[in-house]
Amino acid sequence: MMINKPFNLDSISFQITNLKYYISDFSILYKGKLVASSSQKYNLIDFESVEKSQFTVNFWENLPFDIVTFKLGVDSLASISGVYEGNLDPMNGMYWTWQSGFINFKLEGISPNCLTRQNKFQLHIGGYQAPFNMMREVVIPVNHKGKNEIIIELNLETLLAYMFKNKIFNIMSPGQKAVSIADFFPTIFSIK
Amino acid sequence: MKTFILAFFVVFIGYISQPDSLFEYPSYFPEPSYNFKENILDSTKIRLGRILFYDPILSKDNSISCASCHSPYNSFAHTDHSLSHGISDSIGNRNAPALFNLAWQDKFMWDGAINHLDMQALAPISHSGEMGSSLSEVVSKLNDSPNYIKLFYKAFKDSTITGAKVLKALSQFQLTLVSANSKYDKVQKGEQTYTEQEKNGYLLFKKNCDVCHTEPLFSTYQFASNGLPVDSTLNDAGRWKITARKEDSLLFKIPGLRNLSFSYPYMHDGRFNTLKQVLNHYTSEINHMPNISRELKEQKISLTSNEKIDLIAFLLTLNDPDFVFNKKNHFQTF
Repeated sequence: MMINKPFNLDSISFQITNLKYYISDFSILYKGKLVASSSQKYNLIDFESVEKSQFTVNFWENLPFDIVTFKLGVDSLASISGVYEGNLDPMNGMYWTWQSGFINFKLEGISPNCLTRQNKFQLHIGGYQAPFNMMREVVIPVNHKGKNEIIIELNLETLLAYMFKNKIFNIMSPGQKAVSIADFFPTIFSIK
Repeated sequence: MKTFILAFFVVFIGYISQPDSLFEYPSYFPEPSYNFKENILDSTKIRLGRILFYDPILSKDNSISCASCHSPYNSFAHTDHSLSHGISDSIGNRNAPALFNLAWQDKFMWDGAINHLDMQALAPISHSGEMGSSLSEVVSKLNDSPNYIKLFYKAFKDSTITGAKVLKALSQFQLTLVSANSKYDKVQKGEQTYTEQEKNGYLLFKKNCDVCHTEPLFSTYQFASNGLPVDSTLNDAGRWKITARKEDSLLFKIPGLRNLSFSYPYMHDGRFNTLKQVLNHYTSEINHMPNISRELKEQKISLTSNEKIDLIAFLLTLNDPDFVFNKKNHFQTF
Protein backbone atom coordinates (compact mmCIF):
# COMPACT_ATOMS: atom_id res chain seq x y z
CA MET A 1 0.00 0.00 0.00
CA MET A 2 1.54 3.23 -1.00
CA ILE A 3 0.48 6.74 -0.18
CA ASN A 4 0.27 9.28 -2.99
CA LYS A 5 0.94 6.74 -5.76
CA PRO A 6 -1.54 6.56 -8.62
CA PHE A 7 -3.67 3.42 -8.79
CA ASN A 8 -6.31 2.14 -11.12
CA LEU A 9 -9.41 0.21 -10.26
CA ASP A 10 -11.11 -0.92 -13.44
CA SER A 11 -11.23 2.34 -15.33
CA ILE A 12 -11.10 4.57 -12.26
CA SER A 13 -7.83 6.24 -11.33
CA PHE A 14 -7.22 7.45 -7.80
CA GLN A 15 -4.60 8.25 -5.17
CA ILE A 16 -4.71 7.56 -1.48
CA THR A 17 -3.38 10.53 0.50
CA ASN A 18 -3.98 9.33 4.04
CA LEU A 19 -4.68 5.94 5.57
CA LYS A 20 -4.73 5.41 9.32
CA TYR A 21 -6.57 2.99 11.55
CA TYR A 22 -6.59 1.47 15.01
CA ILE A 23 -5.76 -2.18 15.61
CA SER A 24 -6.67 -3.23 19.13
CA ASP A 25 -6.38 -6.45 21.12
CA PHE A 26 -4.08 -8.04 18.55
CA SER A 27 -3.69 -11.75 19.39
CA ILE A 28 -2.26 -14.89 17.91
CA LEU A 29 -4.02 -18.16 18.72
CA TYR A 30 -3.34 -21.86 18.33
CA LYS A 31 -6.24 -24.30 18.60
CA GLY A 32 -8.26 -21.65 20.40
CA LYS A 33 -5.55 -20.87 22.94
CA LEU A 34 -3.69 -17.59 23.17
CA VAL A 35 -0.08 -17.84 21.97
CA ALA A 36 0.86 -14.16 22.08
CA SER A 37 -0.67 -10.72 22.09
CA SER A 38 0.46 -7.19 21.42
CA SER A 39 1.88 -5.50 24.50
CA GLN A 40 -0.04 -2.39 23.54
CA LYS A 41 -3.81 -2.68 23.62
CA TYR A 42 -4.22 0.01 20.97
CA ASN A 43 -1.93 0.22 17.96
CA LEU A 44 -2.26 3.06 15.50
CA ILE A 45 -1.34 2.07 11.97
CA ASP A 46 -0.36 4.97 9.73
CA PHE A 47 0.67 4.39 6.14
CA GLU A 48 2.51 7.69 6.06
CA SER A 49 5.66 5.74 6.94
CA VAL A 50 6.83 2.14 7.04
CA GLU A 51 7.63 2.31 10.78
CA LYS A 52 4.18 3.54 11.65
CA SER A 53 2.55 0.70 9.72
CA GLN A 54 4.25 -1.93 11.87
CA PHE A 55 4.15 -3.00 15.47
CA THR A 56 5.89 -5.67 17.49
CA VAL A 57 4.43 -8.72 19.17
CA ASN A 58 6.82 -10.70 21.32
CA PHE A 59 6.50 -14.46 21.18
CA TRP A 60 8.69 -17.55 21.30
CA GLU A 61 10.20 -18.51 18.00
CA ASN A 62 8.62 -21.37 16.12
CA LEU A 63 5.51 -21.62 18.27
CA PRO A 64 2.67 -22.81 16.08
CA PHE A 65 -0.39 -20.65 15.53
CA ASP A 66 -3.43 -20.91 13.33
CA ILE A 67 -5.42 -17.71 13.96
CA VAL A 68 -4.51 -14.04 13.93
CA THR A 69 -7.23 -11.87 15.36
CA PHE A 70 -7.73 -8.22 16.26
CA LYS A 71 -10.36 -5.54 16.43
CA LEU A 72 -10.39 -2.74 13.95
CA GLY A 73 -11.12 0.32 16.04
CA VAL A 74 -11.34 1.45 19.65
CA ASP A 75 -13.79 0.01 22.16
CA SER A 76 -16.57 2.01 23.76
CA LEU A 77 -14.97 2.04 27.24
CA ALA A 78 -11.92 3.95 25.99
CA SER A 79 -14.30 6.18 24.01
CA ILE A 80 -16.08 7.47 27.10
CA SER A 81 -13.32 7.58 29.73
CA GLY A 82 -11.55 10.85 28.98
CA VAL A 83 -8.19 11.51 27.46
CA TYR A 84 -5.23 9.12 27.10
CA GLU A 85 -1.60 9.57 26.17
CA GLY A 86 0.08 7.83 23.25
CA ASN A 87 -1.83 6.19 20.42
CA LEU A 88 -5.18 7.40 21.75
CA ASP A 89 -4.09 11.04 22.20
CA PRO A 90 -6.54 13.21 20.21
CA MET A 91 -3.55 15.08 18.75
CA ASN A 92 -3.12 12.10 16.40
CA GLY A 93 -6.14 13.37 14.50
CA MET A 94 -8.09 10.17 15.12
CA TYR A 95 -10.62 11.66 17.52
CA TRP A 96 -13.60 13.73 16.45
CA THR A 97 -13.72 17.22 17.83
CA TRP A 98 -17.34 18.18 17.22
CA GLN A 99 -18.67 15.00 18.82
CA SER A 100 -16.93 12.55 21.12
CA GLY A 101 -15.65 9.35 19.58
CA PHE A 102 -12.60 7.84 17.94
CA ILE A 103 -12.19 7.62 14.20
CA ASN A 104 -11.44 3.90 13.87
CA PHE A 105 -10.49 4.05 10.21
CA LYS A 106 -9.51 7.07 8.16
CA LEU A 107 -9.15 6.78 4.40
CA GLU A 108 -8.61 9.91 2.32
CA GLY A 109 -7.69 10.38 -1.29
CA ILE A 110 -8.41 11.99 -4.61
CA SER A 111 -9.91 10.73 -7.84
CA PRO A 112 -11.27 12.47 -10.95
CA ASN A 113 -14.31 10.25 -10.47
CA CYS A 114 -15.16 12.05 -7.21
CA LEU A 115 -17.41 14.92 -8.09
CA THR A 116 -16.61 16.61 -4.82
CA ARG A 117 -14.62 19.71 -3.91
CA GLN A 118 -11.05 19.22 -5.18
CA ASN A 119 -12.06 15.66 -6.18
CA LYS A 120 -11.44 14.47 -2.64
CA PHE A 121 -12.89 11.49 -0.87
CA GLN A 122 -12.73 11.21 2.92
CA LEU A 123 -14.03 8.24 4.83
CA HIS A 124 -13.83 8.78 8.57
CA ILE A 125 -15.36 5.65 10.05
CA GLY A 126 -15.84 5.77 13.80
CA GLY A 127 -18.16 6.11 16.74
CA TYR A 128 -19.11 3.75 19.53
CA GLN A 129 -22.78 4.29 20.30
CA ALA A 130 -25.28 1.60 19.31
CA PRO A 131 -26.59 1.07 16.70
CA PHE A 132 -23.60 2.75 15.07
CA ASN A 133 -20.70 1.05 16.82
CA MET A 134 -18.04 0.90 14.12
CA MET A 135 -15.55 -1.44 15.77
CA ARG A 136 -15.24 -4.72 13.86
CA GLU A 137 -13.58 -7.97 14.81
CA VAL A 138 -11.17 -9.46 12.30
CA VAL A 139 -10.26 -13.16 12.38
CA ILE A 140 -7.69 -14.46 9.91
CA PRO A 141 -6.96 -18.20 9.75
CA VAL A 142 -3.31 -18.80 8.88
CA ASN A 143 -1.07 -21.59 7.83
CA HIS A 144 2.00 -20.80 9.92
CA LYS A 145 5.31 -21.80 8.42
CA GLY A 146 7.69 -20.81 11.19
CA LYS A 147 8.14 -17.18 10.17
CA ASN A 148 8.98 -14.47 12.65
CA GLU A 149 7.34 -11.78 10.65
CA ILE A 150 3.66 -11.71 9.88
CA ILE A 151 2.68 -9.59 6.94
CA ILE A 152 -0.96 -8.71 7.02
CA GLU A 153 -2.19 -7.55 3.68
CA LEU A 154 -4.85 -4.95 3.37
CA ASN A 155 -6.88 -5.16 0.21
CA LEU A 156 -9.06 -2.11 -0.29
CA GLU A 157 -10.34 -3.12 -3.72
CA THR A 158 -13.82 -4.23 -2.65
CA LEU A 159 -14.25 -1.29 -0.32
CA LEU A 160 -13.15 1.25 -2.92
CA ALA A 161 -15.27 -0.35 -5.65
CA TYR A 162 -18.27 -0.04 -3.33
CA MET A 163 -17.39 3.58 -2.55
CA PHE A 164 -17.12 4.56 -6.22
CA LYS A 165 -20.19 2.59 -7.25
CA ASN A 166 -22.38 4.13 -4.55
CA LYS A 167 -20.70 7.55 -4.71
CA ILE A 168 -20.04 7.58 -0.97
CA PHE A 169 -17.22 10.11 -0.89
CA ASN A 170 -17.69 11.88 2.44
CA ILE A 171 -18.34 10.21 5.76
CA MET A 172 -17.53 12.23 8.86
CA SER A 173 -20.01 10.86 11.39
CA PRO A 174 -21.41 7.55 12.64
CA GLY A 175 -24.49 6.42 10.72
CA GLN A 176 -25.84 3.94 8.18
CA LYS A 177 -23.36 4.95 5.47
CA ALA A 178 -20.47 4.43 7.86
CA VAL A 179 -21.86 1.01 8.83
CA SER A 180 -21.88 -0.04 5.18
CA ILE A 181 -18.15 0.74 4.99
CA ALA A 182 -17.29 -0.76 8.41
CA ASP A 183 -18.91 -4.02 7.37
CA PHE A 184 -16.08 -4.49 4.86
CA PHE A 185 -13.46 -4.49 7.62
CA PRO A 186 -13.62 -8.20 8.56
CA THR A 187 -12.91 -9.21 4.96
CA ILE A 188 -10.22 -6.79 3.77
CA PHE A 189 -7.31 -8.26 5.73
CA SER A 190 -5.47 -11.40 4.78
CA ILE A 191 -2.20 -13.25 5.40
CA LYS A 192 -0.36 -15.09 2.68
CA MET B 1 3.25 17.05 77.21
CA LYS B 2 -0.43 17.29 76.27
CA THR B 3 0.15 20.50 74.32
CA PHE B 4 2.84 18.81 72.31
CA ILE B 5 0.55 15.95 71.31
CA LEU B 6 -2.19 18.33 70.31
CA ALA B 7 0.14 20.37 68.14
CA PHE B 8 1.31 17.23 66.39
CA PHE B 9 -2.27 16.20 65.72
CA VAL B 10 -3.15 19.53 64.09
CA VAL B 11 -0.14 19.39 61.80
CA PHE B 12 -1.04 15.87 60.75
CA ILE B 13 -4.64 16.76 59.88
CA GLY B 14 -3.38 19.81 57.99
CA TYR B 15 -1.13 17.56 55.95
CA ILE B 16 -3.64 14.92 54.96
CA SER B 17 -6.39 17.37 54.09
CA GLN B 18 -4.17 19.26 51.64
CA PRO B 19 -5.45 17.63 48.40
CA ASP B 20 -9.09 18.15 49.43
CA SER B 21 -8.63 21.90 49.66
CA LEU B 22 -8.15 22.00 45.89
CA PHE B 23 -11.71 20.80 45.41
CA GLU B 24 -14.27 21.47 48.10
CA TYR B 25 -18.04 21.21 48.00
CA PRO B 26 -20.81 21.30 50.59
CA SER B 27 -22.11 18.14 52.24
CA TYR B 28 -25.55 18.50 50.59
CA PHE B 29 -24.00 18.28 47.09
CA PRO B 30 -24.03 14.82 45.45
CA GLU B 31 -20.78 12.98 44.67
CA PRO B 32 -19.12 14.46 41.57
CA SER B 33 -19.26 12.28 38.47
CA TYR B 34 -15.79 13.21 37.17
CA ASN B 35 -13.31 10.39 37.75
CA PHE B 36 -10.57 12.21 39.67
CA LYS B 37 -8.52 9.01 39.95
CA GLU B 38 -7.56 9.34 36.28
CA ASN B 39 -6.58 13.00 36.68
CA ILE B 40 -5.57 13.61 40.29
CA LEU B 41 -5.80 17.28 41.16
CA ASP B 42 -2.51 19.00 41.75
CA SER B 43 -1.88 22.70 42.30
CA THR B 44 0.78 22.97 39.57
CA LYS B 45 -1.52 21.29 37.04
CA ILE B 46 -4.42 23.53 38.04
CA ARG B 47 -2.22 26.59 37.61
CA LEU B 48 -1.06 25.35 34.20
CA GLY B 49 -4.69 24.78 33.15
CA ARG B 50 -5.57 28.25 34.36
CA ILE B 51 -2.75 29.81 32.29
CA LEU B 52 -3.86 27.84 29.21
CA PHE B 53 -7.49 28.88 29.77
CA TYR B 54 -6.52 32.55 29.53
CA ASP B 55 -3.98 32.18 26.70
CA PRO B 56 -5.03 32.96 23.09
CA ILE B 57 -2.24 30.62 21.94
CA LEU B 58 -5.02 28.02 21.74
CA SER B 59 -6.47 29.78 18.68
CA LYS B 60 -5.13 29.72 15.13
CA ASP B 61 -4.19 33.40 15.00
CA ASN B 62 -3.48 33.82 18.73
CA SER B 63 -6.48 36.11 19.13
CA ILE B 64 -9.05 34.12 21.13
CA SER B 65 -8.70 32.39 24.47
CA CYS B 66 -11.24 30.25 26.33
CA ALA B 67 -11.88 33.31 28.47
CA SER B 68 -12.85 35.38 25.42
CA CYS B 69 -16.28 33.73 25.58
CA HIS B 70 -16.07 32.38 29.12
CA SER B 71 -15.22 35.45 31.18
CA PRO B 72 -14.70 34.90 34.91
CA TYR B 73 -16.66 38.07 35.73
CA ASN B 74 -19.67 36.63 33.89
CA SER B 75 -19.53 33.33 35.73
CA PHE B 76 -17.51 32.16 32.71
CA ALA B 77 -20.24 33.03 30.21
CA HIS B 78 -20.27 35.87 27.66
CA THR B 79 -22.67 38.46 29.02
CA ASP B 80 -24.49 40.60 26.48
CA HIS B 81 -23.59 38.33 23.58
CA SER B 82 -26.33 36.00 22.41
CA LEU B 83 -24.05 33.85 20.24
CA SER B 84 -20.43 32.81 20.70
CA HIS B 85 -17.59 34.62 18.99
CA GLY B 86 -14.53 33.26 17.22
CA ILE B 87 -11.45 34.17 15.21
CA SER B 88 -11.77 36.71 12.38
CA ASP B 89 -15.00 38.13 13.83
CA SER B 90 -16.93 34.94 13.21
CA ILE B 91 -20.16 34.39 15.09
CA GLY B 92 -21.25 30.91 16.16
CA ASN B 93 -24.76 29.57 16.44
CA ARG B 94 -25.07 29.00 20.20
CA ASN B 95 -24.73 30.96 23.41
CA ALA B 96 -21.51 30.39 25.34
CA PRO B 97 -22.72 28.72 28.54
CA ALA B 98 -21.58 29.70 32.03
CA LEU B 99 -18.97 27.35 33.49
CA PHE B 100 -19.34 26.09 37.04
CA ASN B 101 -19.79 22.79 38.84
CA LEU B 102 -18.50 20.92 35.79
CA ALA B 103 -17.34 17.99 37.92
CA TRP B 104 -21.01 16.99 38.30
CA GLN B 105 -21.70 16.89 34.56
CA ASP B 106 -20.92 14.15 32.10
CA LYS B 107 -22.30 15.51 28.85
CA PHE B 108 -21.08 18.83 27.52
CA MET B 109 -22.24 21.40 24.96
CA TRP B 110 -25.90 22.37 24.50
CA ASP B 111 -26.49 19.17 22.53
CA GLY B 112 -24.36 16.87 24.70
CA ALA B 113 -22.00 16.16 21.79
CA ILE B 114 -19.03 15.74 24.12
CA ASN B 115 -18.98 12.82 26.55
CA HIS B 116 -16.19 13.85 28.94
CA LEU B 117 -14.82 17.11 30.36
CA ASP B 118 -11.31 16.17 29.16
CA MET B 119 -12.53 16.10 25.56
CA GLN B 120 -14.62 19.27 25.68
CA ALA B 121 -11.84 21.73 24.83
CA LEU B 122 -11.21 19.92 21.54
CA ALA B 123 -14.47 21.30 20.16
CA PRO B 124 -13.80 25.06 20.52
CA ILE B 125 -10.09 24.63 19.68
CA SER B 126 -10.94 22.94 16.37
CA HIS B 127 -14.16 24.70 15.34
CA SER B 128 -13.55 27.05 12.40
CA GLY B 129 -15.95 29.60 13.90
CA GLU B 130 -14.31 29.52 17.32
CA MET B 131 -10.54 29.02 17.68
CA GLY B 132 -9.97 27.48 14.23
CA SER B 133 -6.90 25.53 15.29
CA SER B 134 -6.23 21.86 16.06
CA LEU B 135 -4.86 20.06 19.09
CA SER B 136 -1.71 19.06 17.18
CA GLU B 137 -1.12 22.68 16.13
CA VAL B 138 -1.60 23.85 19.74
CA VAL B 139 0.81 21.18 20.98
CA SER B 140 3.47 22.19 18.49
CA LYS B 141 3.12 25.89 19.43
CA LEU B 142 3.39 25.03 23.13
CA ASN B 143 6.44 22.84 22.49
CA ASP B 144 8.12 25.94 21.00
CA SER B 145 7.54 27.93 24.19
CA PRO B 146 10.27 27.65 26.85
CA ASN B 147 7.79 28.99 29.44
CA TYR B 148 5.29 26.23 28.72
CA ILE B 149 7.94 23.52 28.55
CA LYS B 150 8.99 24.57 32.07
CA LEU B 151 5.40 24.60 33.32
CA PHE B 152 4.53 21.22 31.81
CA TYR B 153 7.68 19.74 33.27
CA LYS B 154 6.77 21.11 36.69
CA ALA B 155 3.23 19.76 36.43
CA PHE B 156 3.77 16.38 34.74
CA LYS B 157 7.50 15.68 35.37
CA ASP B 158 7.84 15.36 31.62
CA SER B 159 8.87 18.17 29.31
CA THR B 160 7.31 16.69 26.17
CA ILE B 161 3.98 18.42 25.78
CA THR B 162 1.22 16.15 24.44
CA GLY B 163 -2.43 16.66 23.59
CA ALA B 164 -3.48 14.54 26.56
CA LYS B 165 -1.51 16.73 28.98
CA VAL B 166 -3.00 19.94 27.55
CA LEU B 167 -6.53 18.56 27.90
CA LYS B 168 -5.95 17.19 31.39
CA ALA B 169 -4.53 20.51 32.61
CA LEU B 170 -7.53 22.40 31.19
CA SER B 171 -9.83 19.93 32.97
CA GLN B 172 -7.97 20.45 36.24
CA PHE B 173 -8.56 24.20 36.24
CA GLN B 174 -12.19 23.87 35.16
CA LEU B 175 -12.90 21.24 37.82
CA THR B 176 -11.95 23.77 40.48
CA LEU B 177 -14.70 26.14 39.28
CA VAL B 178 -17.11 25.19 42.04
CA SER B 179 -19.95 27.60 42.75
CA ALA B 180 -21.40 26.74 46.16
CA ASN B 181 -21.50 29.88 48.24
CA SER B 182 -24.61 31.72 47.08
CA LYS B 183 -27.23 32.98 49.53
CA TYR B 184 -29.10 29.72 48.80
CA ASP B 185 -26.03 27.82 50.02
CA LYS B 186 -25.69 30.03 53.08
CA VAL B 187 -29.32 29.29 53.94
CA GLN B 188 -28.63 25.57 53.46
CA LYS B 189 -25.69 25.86 55.85
CA GLY B 190 -27.81 27.77 58.37
CA GLU B 191 -25.75 30.94 58.05
CA GLN B 192 -28.49 33.15 56.60
CA THR B 193 -32.27 33.17 56.18
CA TYR B 194 -34.51 34.03 53.25
CA THR B 195 -36.67 37.13 53.17
CA GLU B 196 -40.44 36.53 53.02
CA GLN B 197 -40.34 37.23 49.28
CA GLU B 198 -37.46 34.80 48.67
CA LYS B 199 -39.21 32.18 50.80
CA ASN B 200 -42.34 32.47 48.70
CA GLY B 201 -40.22 32.37 45.54
CA TYR B 202 -38.55 29.19 46.79
CA LEU B 203 -41.95 27.51 47.24
CA LEU B 204 -42.95 28.55 43.72
CA PHE B 205 -39.61 27.26 42.44
CA LYS B 206 -40.13 23.88 44.07
CA LYS B 207 -43.60 23.62 42.63
CA ASN B 208 -42.79 24.67 39.07
CA CYS B 209 -39.08 24.41 38.26
CA ASP B 210 -37.28 21.99 40.56
CA VAL B 211 -38.15 18.85 38.60
CA CYS B 212 -35.70 19.83 35.82
CA HIS B 213 -33.60 22.47 37.60
CA THR B 214 -33.08 20.21 40.58
CA GLU B 215 -31.36 21.42 43.76
CA PRO B 216 -28.62 21.83 44.77
CA LEU B 217 -27.00 21.94 41.31
CA PHE B 218 -30.19 23.42 39.86
CA SER B 219 -30.14 21.08 36.90
CA THR B 220 -30.52 17.39 36.23
CA TYR B 221 -28.08 18.02 33.36
CA GLN B 222 -30.39 16.02 31.11
CA PHE B 223 -31.79 17.15 27.76
CA ALA B 224 -35.26 18.56 27.20
CA SER B 225 -37.35 20.73 24.96
CA ASN B 226 -38.81 23.68 26.82
CA GLY B 227 -41.07 24.73 23.97
CA LEU B 228 -38.94 27.46 22.44
CA PRO B 229 -40.06 28.16 18.87
CA VAL B 230 -37.31 27.37 16.35
CA ASP B 231 -35.23 30.37 15.33
CA SER B 232 -35.38 30.11 11.53
CA THR B 233 -32.09 31.97 11.16
CA LEU B 234 -30.31 29.15 13.00
CA ASN B 235 -32.51 26.06 12.49
CA ASP B 236 -30.75 24.34 15.36
CA ALA B 237 -32.15 20.85 15.95
CA GLY B 238 -30.15 20.36 19.16
CA ARG B 239 -29.50 16.85 20.38
CA TRP B 240 -31.04 15.25 17.29
CA LYS B 241 -27.86 15.96 15.35
CA ILE B 242 -25.86 13.94 17.88
CA THR B 243 -28.06 10.92 18.51
CA ALA B 244 -29.83 10.80 15.12
CA ARG B 245 -32.98 9.92 17.10
CA LYS B 246 -36.08 11.79 16.03
CA GLU B 247 -37.31 12.02 19.62
CA ASP B 248 -34.23 14.11 20.42
CA SER B 249 -35.21 16.83 17.96
CA LEU B 250 -35.01 20.31 19.57
CA LEU B 251 -33.74 18.96 22.88
CA PHE B 252 -31.05 21.01 24.61
CA LYS B 253 -29.12 20.59 27.83
CA ILE B 254 -30.89 21.85 30.94
CA PRO B 255 -28.60 24.55 32.36
CA GLY B 256 -27.81 25.06 36.05
CA LEU B 257 -29.39 28.25 37.37
CA ARG B 258 -26.62 29.62 39.53
CA ASN B 259 -25.16 33.08 38.80
CA LEU B 260 -27.99 34.18 36.52
CA SER B 261 -27.33 37.89 37.13
CA PHE B 262 -23.82 37.48 35.77
CA SER B 263 -24.53 35.27 32.79
CA TYR B 264 -27.39 36.68 30.70
CA PRO B 265 -28.60 36.33 27.97
CA TYR B 266 -30.42 33.02 28.48
CA MET B 267 -31.28 29.90 26.48
CA HIS B 268 -29.13 27.96 23.97
CA ASP B 269 -29.31 30.83 21.50
CA GLY B 270 -29.26 33.64 24.03
CA ARG B 271 -32.67 34.87 22.93
CA PHE B 272 -33.81 36.24 26.31
CA ASN B 273 -32.06 39.11 28.05
CA THR B 274 -34.04 39.14 31.27
CA LEU B 275 -35.40 36.61 33.73
CA LYS B 276 -38.83 38.19 33.28
CA GLN B 277 -38.76 37.22 29.61
CA VAL B 278 -37.78 33.69 30.62
CA LEU B 279 -40.69 33.39 33.05
CA ASN B 280 -43.10 34.87 30.51
CA HIS B 281 -41.98 32.18 28.10
CA TYR B 282 -42.79 29.41 30.58
CA THR B 283 -46.16 30.85 31.58
CA SER B 284 -47.58 32.00 28.26
CA GLU B 285 -45.31 31.56 25.22
CA ILE B 286 -44.57 27.85 25.16
CA ASN B 287 -44.83 26.29 21.72
CA HIS B 288 -46.42 22.88 22.33
CA MET B 289 -44.29 20.93 19.87
CA PRO B 290 -44.38 17.08 19.77
CA ASN B 291 -41.15 16.62 21.70
CA ILE B 292 -41.87 19.06 24.49
CA SER B 293 -40.73 17.80 27.89
CA ARG B 294 -43.21 15.63 29.75
CA GLU B 295 -43.09 18.01 32.73
CA LEU B 296 -44.21 21.00 30.70
CA LYS B 297 -46.84 18.95 28.91
CA GLU B 298 -48.39 17.61 32.10
CA GLN B 299 -48.30 20.73 34.22
CA LYS B 300 -49.03 24.20 32.94
CA ILE B 301 -46.96 26.81 34.76
CA SER B 302 -49.16 29.63 35.85
CA LEU B 303 -47.81 32.55 37.86
CA THR B 304 -49.28 35.93 38.75
CA SER B 305 -47.07 38.94 38.16
CA ASN B 306 -46.40 39.16 41.91
CA GLU B 307 -45.42 35.50 41.96
CA LYS B 308 -43.03 36.08 39.07
CA ILE B 309 -41.34 38.81 41.10
CA ASP B 310 -41.06 36.49 44.12
CA LEU B 311 -39.68 33.68 41.99
CA ILE B 312 -37.06 36.00 40.51
CA ALA B 313 -36.14 37.11 44.04
CA PHE B 314 -35.42 33.46 44.86
CA LEU B 315 -33.46 32.92 41.62
CA LEU B 316 -31.25 35.84 42.58
CA THR B 317 -30.30 34.03 45.80
CA LEU B 318 -28.43 31.62 43.48
CA ASN B 319 -25.96 34.35 42.57
CA ASP B 320 -22.57 33.49 44.00
CA PRO B 321 -20.36 36.60 44.06
CA ASP B 322 -17.74 34.70 46.08
CA PHE B 323 -17.34 32.45 43.04
CA VAL B 324 -17.51 35.17 40.39
CA PHE B 325 -15.05 37.49 42.12
CA ASN B 326 -12.74 34.81 43.46
CA LYS B 327 -9.24 35.82 42.37
CA LYS B 328 -8.04 32.22 42.27
CA ASN B 329 -10.14 31.76 39.12
CA HIS B 330 -9.09 34.96 37.40
CA PHE B 331 -6.47 35.77 34.77
CA GLN B 332 -3.11 34.15 35.29
CA THR B 333 0.05 34.10 33.23
CA PHE B 334 3.52 32.64 33.74
